Amino acid sequence: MILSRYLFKFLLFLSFLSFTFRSEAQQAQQVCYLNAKVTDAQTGDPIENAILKVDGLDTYMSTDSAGGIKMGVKCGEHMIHFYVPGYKPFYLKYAIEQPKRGERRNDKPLPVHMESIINQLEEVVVTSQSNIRTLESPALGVSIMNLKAVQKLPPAAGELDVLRSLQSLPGVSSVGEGANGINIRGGSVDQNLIFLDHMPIFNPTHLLGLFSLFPTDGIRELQLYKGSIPARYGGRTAGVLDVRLAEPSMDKFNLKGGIGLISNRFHIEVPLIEDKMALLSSSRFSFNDYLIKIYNNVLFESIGGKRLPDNKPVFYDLANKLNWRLSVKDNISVVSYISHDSYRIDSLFSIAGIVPKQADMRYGHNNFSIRWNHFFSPMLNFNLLGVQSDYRTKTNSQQPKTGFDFETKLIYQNLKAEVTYAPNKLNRINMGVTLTRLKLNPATLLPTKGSSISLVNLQQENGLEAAAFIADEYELSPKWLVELGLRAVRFWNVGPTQLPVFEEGSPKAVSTITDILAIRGVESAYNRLEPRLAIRYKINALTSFKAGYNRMNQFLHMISNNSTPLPNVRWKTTNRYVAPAQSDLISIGMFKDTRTHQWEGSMEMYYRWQRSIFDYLNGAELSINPEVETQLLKGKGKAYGLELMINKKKGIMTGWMSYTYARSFQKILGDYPSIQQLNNGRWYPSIIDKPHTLNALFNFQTEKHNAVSLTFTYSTGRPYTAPVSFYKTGVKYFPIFTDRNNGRISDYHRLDFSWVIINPSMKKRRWEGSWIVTIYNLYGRKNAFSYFFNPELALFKPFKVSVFPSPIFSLTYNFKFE
Amino acid sequence: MRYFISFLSLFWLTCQYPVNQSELPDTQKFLVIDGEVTEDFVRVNVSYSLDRVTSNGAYTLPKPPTVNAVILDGTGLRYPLKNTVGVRDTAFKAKVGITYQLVVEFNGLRYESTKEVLRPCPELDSLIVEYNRESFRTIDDIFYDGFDVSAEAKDLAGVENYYQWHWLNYARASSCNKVFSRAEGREVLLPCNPPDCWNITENQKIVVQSDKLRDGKPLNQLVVRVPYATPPNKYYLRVEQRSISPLVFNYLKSLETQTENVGTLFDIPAQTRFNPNVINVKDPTEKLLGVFSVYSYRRKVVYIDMLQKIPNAESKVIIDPTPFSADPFAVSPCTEETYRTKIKPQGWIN
Repeated sequence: MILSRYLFKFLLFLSFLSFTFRSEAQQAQQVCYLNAKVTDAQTGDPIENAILKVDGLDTYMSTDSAGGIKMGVKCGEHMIHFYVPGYKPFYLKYAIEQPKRGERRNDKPLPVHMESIINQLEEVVVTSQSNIRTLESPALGVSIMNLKAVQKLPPAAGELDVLRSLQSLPGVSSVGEGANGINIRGGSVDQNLIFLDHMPIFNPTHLLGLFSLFPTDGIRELQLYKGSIPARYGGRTAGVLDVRLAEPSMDKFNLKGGIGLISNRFHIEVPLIEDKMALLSSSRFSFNDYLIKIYNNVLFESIGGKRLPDNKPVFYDLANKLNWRLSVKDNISVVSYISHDSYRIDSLFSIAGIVPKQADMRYGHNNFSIRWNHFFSPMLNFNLLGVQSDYRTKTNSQQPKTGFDFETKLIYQNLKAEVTYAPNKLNRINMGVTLTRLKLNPATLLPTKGSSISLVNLQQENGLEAAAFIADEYELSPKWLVELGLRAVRFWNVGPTQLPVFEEGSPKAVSTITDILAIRGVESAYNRLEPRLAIRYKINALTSFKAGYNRMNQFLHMISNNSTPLPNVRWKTTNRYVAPAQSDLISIGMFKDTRTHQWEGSMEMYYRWQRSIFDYLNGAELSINPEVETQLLKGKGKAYGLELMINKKKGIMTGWMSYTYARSFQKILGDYPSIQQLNNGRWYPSIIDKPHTLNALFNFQTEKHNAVSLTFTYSTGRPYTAPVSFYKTGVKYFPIFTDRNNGRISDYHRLDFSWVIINPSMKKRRWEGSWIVTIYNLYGRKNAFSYFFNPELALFKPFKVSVFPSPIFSLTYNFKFE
Repeated sequence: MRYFISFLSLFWLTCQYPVNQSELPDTQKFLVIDGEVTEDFVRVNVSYSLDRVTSNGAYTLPKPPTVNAVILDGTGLRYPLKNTVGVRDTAFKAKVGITYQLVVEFNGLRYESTKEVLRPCPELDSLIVEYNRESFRTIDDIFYDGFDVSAEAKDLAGVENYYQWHWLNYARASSCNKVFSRAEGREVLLPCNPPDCWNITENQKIVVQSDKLRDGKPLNQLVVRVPYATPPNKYYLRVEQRSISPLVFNYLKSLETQTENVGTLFDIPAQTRFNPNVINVKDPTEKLLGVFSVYSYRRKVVYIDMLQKIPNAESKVIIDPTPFSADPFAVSPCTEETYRTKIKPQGWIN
């Protein structure tokens, strides 16, 4: 027994020796590691995809999302070179050495602060990608906007707004001011995949669509894909908006915020363990409903206006991000995001015929993600991501005898493993697998105490989506660069569920249900392949031509026939009756830069086909309908357009102008065209068909402390359904509508002004304040959101709804503490 | 799902404006066939939709066609209609459980309705009147202080039922005309002749409900909000509860969607459901308007006491300040109209 104990100790000693000798042997090879962190010199934000080249080596490597990089090189002195499109190249002679015996290994990364061309050239507005990246990359229709660019745009009511800012880009529009979501190249709002740091957002706005819900201070950049969509993204057919949060500073405490009329902002970055762990917390909260009380109780009589309804509007959003650098090779990032809206809706609101006078509406996201990033080698980077997004709504009416709680829920869970492999400087491969689970509670109606309403609980819908993707960016020659991608998807709609069986040869209707199937396992499954292609041909150093093709599929659909979706809109998974929507997009483009990089221009053209889109029956009942399939009419869509953009990036006056010609049509035949087709089976313009759009931004900055911006936007009015006559039934006249979207509202145009006073004291202090004065809709045009007819108000004359009909002055104070 | 989003006015923002110029599509003309069959009358109206409606609201009222119309019942009875311009024929009496069909003929065309059964209507148990102040309204809104009138009934269990509520208000007409008096050199009001004359107001809004969410349970439906107003001291309201068919319910629901609660960011695109139960026999694809509704009803009358003690309640109703004519012989006849009658209303108390 004693012998065996000695033997064990001896073996342990041997293994220790062998480990030591092996380490010594490795040192003899003189391999060192270059550990660096690349950040923007001005903002301190980490820079992803910065390319590192070390002299004498043929290997390139790029930084991770935290700006970190670790590369194995021969020990000794090297000339290192960091290269990022849009930044001044960074060169440094640097000695990379092993720690001396007895010394602790120094894991502190080499700080690389890169100076942006933007900063170098004073105030340059970046609205899309930087010049070099635009020219080099094969991707088309990709816009990258940083927070600084968002800040240049005069905000409505002083609220910096991500979605409204994106609408200044060609190819991005909305149904109108205050509409919920954006439309990309003729797609509906639910055809966009919106991420906040990898977590999907199902309702991107606060206050029913007035303001977008991203905590602006915490945003590093917005990546908008409307053309070439990388193979790692899937599940929507129109576009992808990837909003990236900033990385918390590992070595510096930061505090900033703002106080505005609508909301207040607070952003903090705290290094918890120096260079190891840091926390970011960014929030926006609107508890300014007390202003309504002040106005109603004190001001309204002296102003001579009307009392305002007290709707108790409250909203907030809070994003937290914890970054933990486990080692030079490993990084863990944990993110949580909460958004919440609460307000009272007055007067008429009906769900399945129940009309309460007032209803309280609450909704929001509760999202969480965790990401592990590991560098296997200088050429191989691995990411593992787990995400849960939970979106819930609750509408409550306390009306006696008909009170109810109406609830909806959508849960998205995703696991994704992704590898980026760059075997050489010509080739970069991105591949991975992803598994997504969808759990939907379309509607639950619960009677409140004493209510005569019955409980309704629509059955839960479950979907499972598995996908594998690969994309290879390969430089065939200095002129030709190709990115080939493929995404293979399988979607299962799974039980337990009950599904109606409809009479063969008859349209789907409650009256044609012949049986109800109880399904426990897989109800239906779909396989889809999504090829992606992007090609760049460099005509010369300053001009490139690109072409691309995408196929996308969508298995989760928003069921809404409102002009703009409500927060408690119904979502639906694909099943045997609701086929996945599919879209094919081809695009070509020409990109041009100038030698001084002062001007850049682009021209893109696209054509998009859509299959299995749907519209709705006249008078469709969607919210609490167990057989919602009976309300849908299947059809197809097409969209095409031309987008021109010119950007001035240097000088006292900077800015851009863009012109878009875009059309969007749909053809709805249903399963039985003779009785279901809309508009006699013809192609008709979709609600977002606005042929001409012109956007212009002019930014003037003569010195550091003052900047003035003017923004002008013009677009053709969108289609609406106009009556072809009126008729009287009983004592009342009613309009008669035949074809959908047969009229067009008046054209839209608006001029905004903003004046930013940066650090008025002009002294360098730890606390810096700035003021933003904005006037939205400077000349007070009463732009129409929609037209409607109500013979009760005026016989047979249209009325228009205008969301911001007068100039809106706002003042915001922002502060920064470092 | 429809919303009226008044919260937007929080930001002094959302407003509605008449549009001066707009392009409207070419006017299309449709035949309208409306019919009502109840336990104590039949009413049929055959007309056309308006002609040449322009963007500034001008229109032509087309002449109704001359038609032959008949009601056929399930027992083989044939009831020819003398009038097809929307006047009630009270000689006709329908019965619960019997089917009725409307047939209209003109210009060699024949239009037939489906056979609709007269469905029983549950008793209208009570009308609940409750005063409240709707503080979410602006203070000058006439409905700021008002009375909610709700109908209560017991749904018939086991079958799908669809209901419509209709109300009528009778108020004694203080004057029957406003004229310019040369003698007095101003506009004056003329009293009615005979003085027992009533103005009629009826609901403009469609109030319908299905029992989908409350089968066999008590029904409680807000029918109307009556503004607090003095005078009158007593406000006469007659509420009618109708038991309608699912087709008629869907049709009325679509009309409700078209015109009520429009003008918000969340409007449902305008759509028309054409006549669901009347077709042109020769050409079933012809789009017709109107609906043939066969229903039974129950009525109740309620008086709202405007003089009850309501602290701080204010009347926002503006009374016509025009004086009565000084000439004691200047009167205006009380003619029978849809908005006026000299027939004493049911349950009227002087």
